[in-house]
Amino acid sequence: MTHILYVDDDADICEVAVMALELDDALVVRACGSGADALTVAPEFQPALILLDVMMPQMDGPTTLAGLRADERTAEIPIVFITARTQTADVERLTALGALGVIPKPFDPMTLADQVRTFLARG
Amino acid sequence: MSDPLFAGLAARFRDRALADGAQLRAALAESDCAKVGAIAHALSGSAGTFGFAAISVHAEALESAVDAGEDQLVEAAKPLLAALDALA
Repeated sequence: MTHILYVDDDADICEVAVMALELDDALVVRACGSGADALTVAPEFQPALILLDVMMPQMDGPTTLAGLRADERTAEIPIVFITARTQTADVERLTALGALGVIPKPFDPMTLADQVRTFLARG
Repeated sequence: MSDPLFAGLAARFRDRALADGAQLRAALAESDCAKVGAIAHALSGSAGTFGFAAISVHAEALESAVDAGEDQLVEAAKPLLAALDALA
């Protein structure tokens, strides 16, 4: 089984993401409602991939990524940003931070698991 | 996605979007650009996931107008507000 961590401050989006990803029986998904929660959950859950919203209150996605990279237990976990801002400059800025890539918001629940599989194959 | 849980979430989104419409009108009346941008951003990133693609498109346009510092936000918000009103 492959663990996926989804991080987004929108609880309804988290629920849809978990439902969508678990359409793939091989994926086990947990959701976190904040970057701070992700920093607590990720070391124990050991996801194969983290899907991380960019714009969140208190701790945004890039700050959360930095926190995950600073912890040796999560430093190597591939991270894909989820963002509504997908201009080339935005994507380049996010990948320059060390993210594996970007999934545009709003995401299509029917194809999200396929997108994650593609990133898992790359990571 | 035809899952009953998803249908429930979509219905909940619809209710929330209607409330967002009211908040957006209030933010426009107060010329609170930051709040207008925040509401537009949230709708832009979520509505399409629940099957309301037009709302995402109009919200993205409004967010871009806010980012560009446009001073005619009431005009820029009209398509989004119309799409939100259509949910009622």
